[in-house]
Amino acid sequence: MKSETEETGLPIFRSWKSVYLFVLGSFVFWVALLIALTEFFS
Amino acid sequence: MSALDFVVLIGSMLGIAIYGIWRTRGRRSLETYLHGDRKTPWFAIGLSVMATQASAITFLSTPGQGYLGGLGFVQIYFGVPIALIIIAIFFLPIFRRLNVYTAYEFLGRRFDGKTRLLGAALFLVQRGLGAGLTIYAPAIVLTTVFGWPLNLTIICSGLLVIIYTVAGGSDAVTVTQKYQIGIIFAGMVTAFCLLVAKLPAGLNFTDTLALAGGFQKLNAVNFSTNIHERYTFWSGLLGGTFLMLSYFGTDQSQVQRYISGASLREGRLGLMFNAVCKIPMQFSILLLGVLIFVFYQFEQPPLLFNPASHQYLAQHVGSGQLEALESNFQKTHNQARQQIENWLDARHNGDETSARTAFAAAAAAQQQGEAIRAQAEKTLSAANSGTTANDADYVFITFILHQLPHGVIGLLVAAFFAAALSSKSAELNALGSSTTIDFYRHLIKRDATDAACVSASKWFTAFWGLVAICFALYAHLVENLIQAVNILGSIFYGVMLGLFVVAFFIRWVGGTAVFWGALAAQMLVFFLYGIYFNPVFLNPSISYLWYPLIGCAACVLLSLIIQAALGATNKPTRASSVS
Repeated sequence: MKSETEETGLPIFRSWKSVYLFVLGSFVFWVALLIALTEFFS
Repeated sequence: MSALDFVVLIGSMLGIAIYGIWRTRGRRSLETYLHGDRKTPWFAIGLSVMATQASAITFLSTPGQGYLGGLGFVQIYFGVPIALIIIAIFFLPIFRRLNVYTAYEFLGRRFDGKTRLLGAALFLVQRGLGAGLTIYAPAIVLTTVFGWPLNLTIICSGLLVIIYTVAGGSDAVTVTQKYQIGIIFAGMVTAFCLLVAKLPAGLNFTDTLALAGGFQKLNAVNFSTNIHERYTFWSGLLGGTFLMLSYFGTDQSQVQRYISGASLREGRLGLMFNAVCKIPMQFSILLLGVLIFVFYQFEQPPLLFNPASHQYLAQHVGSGQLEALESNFQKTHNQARQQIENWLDARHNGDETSARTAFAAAAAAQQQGEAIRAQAEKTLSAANSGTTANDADYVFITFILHQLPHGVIGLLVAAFFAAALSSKSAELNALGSSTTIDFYRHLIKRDATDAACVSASKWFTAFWGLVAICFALYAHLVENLIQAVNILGSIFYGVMLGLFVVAFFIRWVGGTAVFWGALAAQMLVFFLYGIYFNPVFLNPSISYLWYPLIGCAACVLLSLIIQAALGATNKPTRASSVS
């Protein structure tokens, strides 16, 4: 899509693809943290 | 509450409302009234989307869920990042390109007038019926605890939100939400810090987690594939994605927030802000509840947190029986506390065997305490024909009232009202916009001027506000209100999402096919809910998280089948296709 090629205006994440990957990465990080909490303290 | 608490509460609520009216004075064109002149930066959009979703009951009730059930509830939000990425890629660019006021206007351009009206009607029915709950739910909790007159609380908070939403439109909602969410965060962070400071001095961070984990309060992720379990990783990821996609992508109260951005970039970044922040935010609120649980291991908790339930038991069951229950509950709590202190000493001395023995004894005493609490709830239910103590809603407010200093109490009550007003104002704004754009201008007065539409939008917003107040005033007549409204949302969201999925992704399906497909899918969902409430036919415990997925899938499949049956003559023309 044309809108995906537009600049994000962000210093590190210049493409929207990198923004979405960052969001997914933070999601994976939180799920991993929650799994660790479940496993280590139960 | 002291005079200081009232000054903080009334000052912050009135101050924000007056500021919202002042900042948005002179908004007279339809564009500025419904879109806020499209100058909103991404951070304001992000906060606005967050404030619209997080109602007062989120902040009142979620810590109680953490206290009673642990962190497992966080799984319901696992669908948020995926849903918001899908909306940012597919939904938002099209809404902006077409410059629509409502999400249902897009359905009209993609399909036809009747499909647009169907989408708008589904939204108005479910959001309109649930409108009173946003005011009623916090009002009933706060008036029960503080003894305020319920009706007066509902009317005052309802009129306040009507006044500034009618006066300033979409911009007033965004402007006030920024400060309301500021008060909410200030209150929650203060409560969190004070709670941590109140934990016993000998209890360090890992002790706290080990204690909570030992009582199964840190079981955040459950990979069970049993569909009868309400909160699992899979129901959160799959069902939750559909639920969140329906809510953020098709509910006008959310769509109106992110289409008002200064550009596509601002709207997208606002959505991504929520995609990143939602899970940690909900985790923190649940963790607050878990820490309250740890706190009450060292401090005597009440038998029932809901004071009305306690009072009812005292009046109708007899003080002797209640005193016996309370005395036993206190005894088991003291036993558990003693064993937890033994566990802590043994743990700090590196004596693992003694620590294990002491914790097992503490867990047994804790279980006895829970059994006594369950017995009290059962007695209450038997005495008052099925009424439940509904304790989760009262855990946090009880802690605030009895453990936090004056001033902070006022700040937290202000935070609850700020959450109620922020989500209510967005709902009223969306209901007024949709009624004006999708019904008044589309059906009643097609040649209406912008000024007439702004005037109509103000009247419709006030009308929906008064409907919400009336619903809230009579809400006590409906049993299991919160459950009823949650189920109401999940009944309609799936089909609404199905309409948009067909619109975006299946170009060869036309308006007639999707209209009848959506109606048939809605009937199917009604039928399934009929079975859901009738345990004679089926096990009634299928998680409601799955119903948006079922409704959406049925709408898409039936639309495809009907379009295939209708043949090529009913397919959309190239001109009517916008995707």
